[in-house]
Amino acid sequence: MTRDLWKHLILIFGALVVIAPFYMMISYSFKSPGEIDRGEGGFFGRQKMMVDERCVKLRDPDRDDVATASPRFPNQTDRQIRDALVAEAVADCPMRPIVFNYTKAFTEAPCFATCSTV
Amino acid sequence: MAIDETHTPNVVSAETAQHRTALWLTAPALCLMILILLVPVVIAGILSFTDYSLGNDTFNWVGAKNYDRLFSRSTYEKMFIATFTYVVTVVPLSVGLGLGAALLINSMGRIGDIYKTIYFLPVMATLLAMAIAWEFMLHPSIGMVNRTLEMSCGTVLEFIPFLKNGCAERFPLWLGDRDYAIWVICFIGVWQGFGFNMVLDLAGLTGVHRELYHAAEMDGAKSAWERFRLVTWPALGPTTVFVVTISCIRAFQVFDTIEAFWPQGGGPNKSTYVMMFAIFEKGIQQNLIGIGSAITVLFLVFVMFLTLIQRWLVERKVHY
Repeated sequence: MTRDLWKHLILIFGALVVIAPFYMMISYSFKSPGEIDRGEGGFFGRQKMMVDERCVKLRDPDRDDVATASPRFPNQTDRQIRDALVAEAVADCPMRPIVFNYTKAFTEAPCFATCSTV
Repeated sequence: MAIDETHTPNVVSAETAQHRTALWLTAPALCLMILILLVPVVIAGILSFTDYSLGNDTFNWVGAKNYDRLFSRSTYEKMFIATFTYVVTVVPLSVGLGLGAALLINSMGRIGDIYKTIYFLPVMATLLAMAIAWEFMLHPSIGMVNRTLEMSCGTVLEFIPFLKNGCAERFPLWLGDRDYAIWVICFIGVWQGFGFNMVLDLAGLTGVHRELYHAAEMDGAKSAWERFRLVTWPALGPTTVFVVTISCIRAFQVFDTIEAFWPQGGGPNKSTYVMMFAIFEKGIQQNLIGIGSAITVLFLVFVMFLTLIQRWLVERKVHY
């Protein structure tokens, strides 16, 4: 019985060493970049809403967008309208880290012709 | 007698026809083997005596200058040291741990299957992807390794000199420190390779008959060590030779982790500048086909030497 216990202890120790990188990889896939950098959030991360910068960038307003939106923002300068549009984009692009990571994995990982367009 | 005389030419012609048919049947495989295996080796051998670069129409014969460089420049000295350090560390450890794990798992029931699956995970995983996970784990400030080591600070474990120094100053940079980089690569090599060896050893262990253990016990081999020394080890001879050879060849081929960690140059102060990376750097990145071919030829010589030793051992030493 004691011998079996020792065998299990040795094998479990080995298994922990083997599994550690997989654990990290899976845990990181749930977390936001900030949580990874700070090393917080446990295994699943806090799943706080985060802004998808790529989504914001996609909606980066140009002159035409500012001109189209100007009736919605009377008496404001182009600069102010632009900032307001960016703020709208930021408000429209929040995501939970887990959704963000896995969406990106499916939309960007197979990086064929689409990656260079954005 | 007359019958024999009349039949002999027929027998000879039948044999000739048989030989001719055999030659025709083996010709496709032979041609492919020559084209795919031998021709590239011969071309690499020829190019190793030239200063050829891809895109050039001509080249100059430089004799043994490329080989001379390999044995006289400090960069290549580091290459040999890194390669042999890796092989000499990874092969015994991965073979030993694989055998140890196989013996432990084999002595268990169905629960051993869980360990088997876990230990085989790194073999199935892509090393390049896992290298990124290891890079995070070995990060000096946010990595799991240094954070785990930091947990020992202020505990009784601090009497260990390594931990004491780490707690007092800082824990190693691992991938950024030339004293540790090669050992990190070796560790990852063992981590990735021993599961494969374990599976081969487990396959070998299934071929060891229970009766042999009973017979050994009756002959006085009471302890587990004696049974291992007298029965298991000799019975695993051919498997072990195969495992050692495969591990050696795989160890000589290490490349992914080094390319993932240090894409621009073989680690801090070239401490992990192994042969495969040197071939890639010289032949592909720097377009120095001549020197790249010379390293390739040396690499082939090492691998061939190992294979010959394996053949010799299998044929002469490990029959039981």
